[in-house]
Amino acid sequence: MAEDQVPPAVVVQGGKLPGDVPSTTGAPAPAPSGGGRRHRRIQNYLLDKSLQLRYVLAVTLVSALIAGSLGYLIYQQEHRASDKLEQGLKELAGNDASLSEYGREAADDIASRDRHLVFKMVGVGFALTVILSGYLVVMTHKVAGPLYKVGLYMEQMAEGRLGKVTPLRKGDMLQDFYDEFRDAHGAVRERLRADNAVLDRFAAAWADAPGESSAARSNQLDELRRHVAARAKALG
Amino acid sequence: MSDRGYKRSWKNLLINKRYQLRFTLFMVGLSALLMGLLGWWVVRVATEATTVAQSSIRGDACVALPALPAKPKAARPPPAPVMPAVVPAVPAVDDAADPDDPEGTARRRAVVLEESQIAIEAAPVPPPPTVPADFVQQITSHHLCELDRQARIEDAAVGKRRIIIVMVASGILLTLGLAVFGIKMTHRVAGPLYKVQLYLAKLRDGRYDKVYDLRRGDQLVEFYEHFKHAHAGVLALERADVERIRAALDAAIADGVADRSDEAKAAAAALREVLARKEKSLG
Repeated sequence: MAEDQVPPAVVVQGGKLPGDVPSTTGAPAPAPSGGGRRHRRIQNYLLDKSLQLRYVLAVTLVSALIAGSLGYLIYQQEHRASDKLEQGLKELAGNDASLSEYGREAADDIASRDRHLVFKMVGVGFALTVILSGYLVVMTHKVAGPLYKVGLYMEQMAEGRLGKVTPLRKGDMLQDFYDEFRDAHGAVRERLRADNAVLDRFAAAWADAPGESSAARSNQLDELRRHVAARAKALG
Repeated sequence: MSDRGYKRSWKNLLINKRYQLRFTLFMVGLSALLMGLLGWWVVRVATEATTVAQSSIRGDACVALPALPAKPKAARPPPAPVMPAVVPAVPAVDDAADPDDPEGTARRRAVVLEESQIAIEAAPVPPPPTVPADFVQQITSHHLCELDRQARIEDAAVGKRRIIIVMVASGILLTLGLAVFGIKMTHRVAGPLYKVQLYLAKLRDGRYDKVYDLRRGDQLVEFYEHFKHAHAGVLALERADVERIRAALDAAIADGVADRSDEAKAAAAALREVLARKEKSLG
C-alpha cells in the first residue's frame, strides 16, 4: 500500500471518535466529514445513567408487576386443577394398592408439570426483562445521546468556544430541540464573528491611520489584535 | 436563585408531543402486548382448570334415588256380571181412553219391559305400598346433592368469568394509569427542555435574560447546569467584548484617530453601534 493511501490515524477520546461528539479539549471540534454520521457503540449506550435507568427501571417494574400478577393467576389456576385431579385419583384408588401406586405416579407427574410451568414462567419473565431493558436502553439512548452532545457543546460555550455544530445521527430523538440549539448556537457564533470583524477592521483602520505612533496607541492596538485573534480562534 | 414559583398544570403536561407521546405509547403498547399475551395464557389455563374442576364435580356421585317398592298384587276381580237383555214384551193394544182422541179412532200400542236386577261386585282395594322409613330423606338428599353439584359446576364457571373480568378491568386501568404516568414522567424531561428552548430563542435574538432554576421534581438537572454555564459563558464573551471595545474607543478618541482618517472614523462609528447593541443586550 502506498504511503498516501494509508488513512490518517484517528485518536479515540474517552471511547468516542472525534466528530461523534464535540471535543472537550481546547480547540473547537473539527467538523466531521460526511455530516458527522457516526455509528452507535455498545459501550456508549448508557450516556445518562440517571435518566436512562429511571425509564428502564419504571418500565421493567411495571412489566414485572403485570407478568408477576398474571403469572400468579396462571399458577393458581393450574395448581387448583392439579389438586382436583390428585383428589379425584385418590378417591378413585380407594384401598386398591395398584391404583394407589398409579395415583402416586400421576400425582408426581402433575407436580412435575406444575414445577415445569413455574420454571417456564420464570424463564419467560427473565428473558422478557433482559430484552425489554436492552430495548429501553437503546431507546433512551436516542434521547440521552442528543442531550449528551448538546451538553458538551454547552460546556464549550461556557469556556467561550463556539465551534461548528454537527447534525445528529439518524434515528436520534429530540431533533426539534437540537435544531433550536443549533440555530441559537449558530446565531450567537455569527453575531460574535461579525462583531469581531468590526473590531478587526477598526484595529486595521487605526493602525493604518497617519500620525505619530505612541506607546499607549501601540499597547491598545496590541491588546485589540490579541483579543480579535483569540476570539477568531474560539469561533473556529 | 429563585425558580419564580411556576407550578405544574395538567393543561401543560404535553409540552413536547412527539417525544412524550412516543415514549408513552411505547410503554402503553408494550404493557398491552404483555397483558394480551399473558392474559391469553391465563384464559387458556383457566379454561382447562375449570373443565377439570367441572369434570371432577360431575364425577362426585350423589346418593341414588331410592326405587319405589313394587305394587302389591290386587285380588283377581270376579267375572263381570252378565246383564240379561231387555226383552220387549209382546205388544198389546191398550184400550184405555185417550184424552186427545176421545173418539178412540187411533190404534194404540202398549210396551211392557221386564225388569231385571244387576249385582256388581267391587274389586278388593290393594294395600298401600310400604317404603323405607328414610325414603323422603333419601330423595331430599339426592336432590340437594344434585343441586349442590350444579351449583359447584356453575361456581367453577363463575370463577373463570371473574378471572377474565378482573383481568380485563385491571388491564384497562393499568393502561390508563401507564398513559398518565408516562406523560407525567416525560413531562419532567420535556419541561426543562422547553425552558431551555425558550432561553435559546432569546440567545438567538441577542437577549441575555436571567436564567432561573428548574422546578422541583424536574429531571435533566445536570443538563440544565450545562446550559446555565453556556449562557454564562456567552455572557462573559459579550462583557469582554464590551470592555475591550470601550477601552479601544476611549484610546482612539484620545489618540484623535477619527480626525486623521475617514476609514478609522467609519470603523469607529460601526464599533460604537456594536457597543450600543451589546450594552443593550446585557441590560
